Amino acid sequence: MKFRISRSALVEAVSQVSKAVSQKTTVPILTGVKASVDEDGLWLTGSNSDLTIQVCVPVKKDDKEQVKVETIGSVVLPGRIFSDIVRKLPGKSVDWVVDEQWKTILRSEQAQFELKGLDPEEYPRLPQLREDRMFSLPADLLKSMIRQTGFAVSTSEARGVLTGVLWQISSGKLTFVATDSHRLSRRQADVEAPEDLSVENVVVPGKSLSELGKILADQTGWVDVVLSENQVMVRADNLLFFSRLLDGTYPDTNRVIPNSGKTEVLLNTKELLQSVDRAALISRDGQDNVIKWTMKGEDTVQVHSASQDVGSVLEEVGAQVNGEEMSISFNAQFMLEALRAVDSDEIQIHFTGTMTPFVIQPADREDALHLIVPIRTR
Amino acid sequence: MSLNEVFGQQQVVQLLKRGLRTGRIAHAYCFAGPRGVGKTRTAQQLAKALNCLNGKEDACDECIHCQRIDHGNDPGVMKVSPDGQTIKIDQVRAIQRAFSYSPPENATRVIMIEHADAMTVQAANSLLKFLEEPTSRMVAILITENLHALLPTIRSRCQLLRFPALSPERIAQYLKEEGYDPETSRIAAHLAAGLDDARGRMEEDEFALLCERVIKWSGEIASGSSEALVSVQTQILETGRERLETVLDLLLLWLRDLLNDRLGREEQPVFARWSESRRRQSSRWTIDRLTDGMHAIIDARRQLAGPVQAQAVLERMVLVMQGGAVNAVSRRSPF
Repeated sequence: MKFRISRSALVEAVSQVSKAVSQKTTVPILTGVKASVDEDGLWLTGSNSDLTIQVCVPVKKDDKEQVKVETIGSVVLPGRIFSDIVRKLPGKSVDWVVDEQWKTILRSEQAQFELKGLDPEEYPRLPQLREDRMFSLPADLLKSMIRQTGFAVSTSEARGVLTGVLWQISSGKLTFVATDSHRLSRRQADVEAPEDLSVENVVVPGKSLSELGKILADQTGWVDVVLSENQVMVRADNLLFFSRLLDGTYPDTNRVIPNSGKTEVLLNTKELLQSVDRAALISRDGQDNVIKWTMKGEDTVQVHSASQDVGSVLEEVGAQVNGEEMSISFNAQFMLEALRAVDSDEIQIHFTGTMTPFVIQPADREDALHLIVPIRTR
Repeated sequence: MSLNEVFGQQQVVQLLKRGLRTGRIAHAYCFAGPRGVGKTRTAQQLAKALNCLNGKEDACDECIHCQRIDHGNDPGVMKVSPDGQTIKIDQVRAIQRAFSYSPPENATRVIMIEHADAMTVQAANSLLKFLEEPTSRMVAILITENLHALLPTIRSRCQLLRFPALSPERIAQYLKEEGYDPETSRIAAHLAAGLDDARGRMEEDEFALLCERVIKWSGEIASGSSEALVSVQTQILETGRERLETVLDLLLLWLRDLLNDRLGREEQPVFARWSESRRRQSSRWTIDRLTDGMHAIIDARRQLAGPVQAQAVLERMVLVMQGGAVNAVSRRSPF
């Protein structure tokens, strides 16, 4: 294998795949980055066996030659040191030569590195996904869907499928659901999918999704998503992202979402966010971050929080209240996270009772929903 | 290497191969047996055979899966061994975390837990449900030298496969075929629990020299001279604390040879090369004193495991052996 590559393109690609490479793995080959070069360009692959990132440096970009291939081939190089070397090489381009024993020579102007490579055959194969279960959506939409649901996954490893986000598709509508059993977030969006594509139980690990969110950060345009039994693949420009799926059946969440409310409140998101944030100051050192809301009359919500050691806070927020008067206690942190995820100036909250979950929705849309379970207080 | 090439465990291998052939592999095995009889190696080969692309009842050793597993590069084959003294609950949780992901297609994931008896109670308990209800295709192999130190709840969830200790004759035979000196091989084979252990001893420097020393020391003990006590200091302790147990094992084997000689048994002696010394020394012993002496050695061997000064233990042993049965009354040791 022998080729020449532009250093800036290589640095860019290496920094992308390095995100997937973990140093603390028990599988030695996964500490490496796989590089293979063919007629299309250079493919770099990094993996920690749960998620895999593959980046392509195409031969030509904007009519500029980036890779000049002489002979094709592949090699696995130690990840950490390889990315450090590439970043610090002096020249504008890198000559890359690999011999039969996977000894790799990287040459750039006056510097020449010799690296011991590993057998690329030992690197885990990427799954070949059939493209029949595929849909497309704008990268921005996918990012915002991840942002609006990803925070609600359970962080406790013992919770199995609840550490992931459920993906469902029916008649062209993609639904993300995440819950840690104290709160739930759901986001729906229309995507470009075949009419008959129906997906019931695909659970993507929360960690993979947050990683995906970072990788898509500077992507615009559309991405393709391909689903298989045990993998999901996201394809963007010159980039493939694979994640393994979580094993198990996601619980039916539709049953916990109430359809109608006893009391409905309409509020300004920003005002509410700030008031909850203030109230949380008092209770944040306590156990559950509890704050209490009392709906009074038709135009105010009283926000109250007290802590035995610290003191208390009381504040009134203007709102449109419809329905019964009631008071309810809940975890302020959940509320804050939900409010930050809502991309809307006004929100609507449906209460069904002091002891039953309530629902936060943007006032102008139906596609997002956050549900919080209240806390029983004396 | 493949299952067929595991040395000296035909019975276990046959059983596993039958399981592979008929597709009736248990989801959890417990490999129990003394050190060095090939438990870990068998587990490794089983993992290969389960994932091999070519062979069904054995690993082909050539396909990419076999190679990867051999080099520890297969994420589906996980090995756990004690982190320090014990296997901690976090290590067990890490495995379970890996198993919350759905498996690659057509792969059987394998977990090997080496020294499974070193699991803390919490770790073992957190493994219970996982062992009982595998979520996907997997085989867990618990490897232990001390079956009874495993929690009964763990034990009952595994299919037990016992790895018998290899007979010294077979090990000696094998070592001879590998080109080691046949007479020394015989001694090493009698000392060691398994083939690897025996081979390791053969490769130690001065193993033959050590035998020589022990026999000379035994001669001094037999003659009743106080030289034997001096030798404890000058010859025996010098070999290093970690080799003292080997020294005592050698002495025990030597005394057994002497006893066989006195009883006029036909059995082939372990120390074949030293027939002259054997004849000379055995004439100085009586059968009773030999058995008492062997008791003393076994006692000393046990005491060495405790927090005792080695020199004191050895000197006491020599005195007991030389004093004969009279002093051996104190055999009920204070330890």
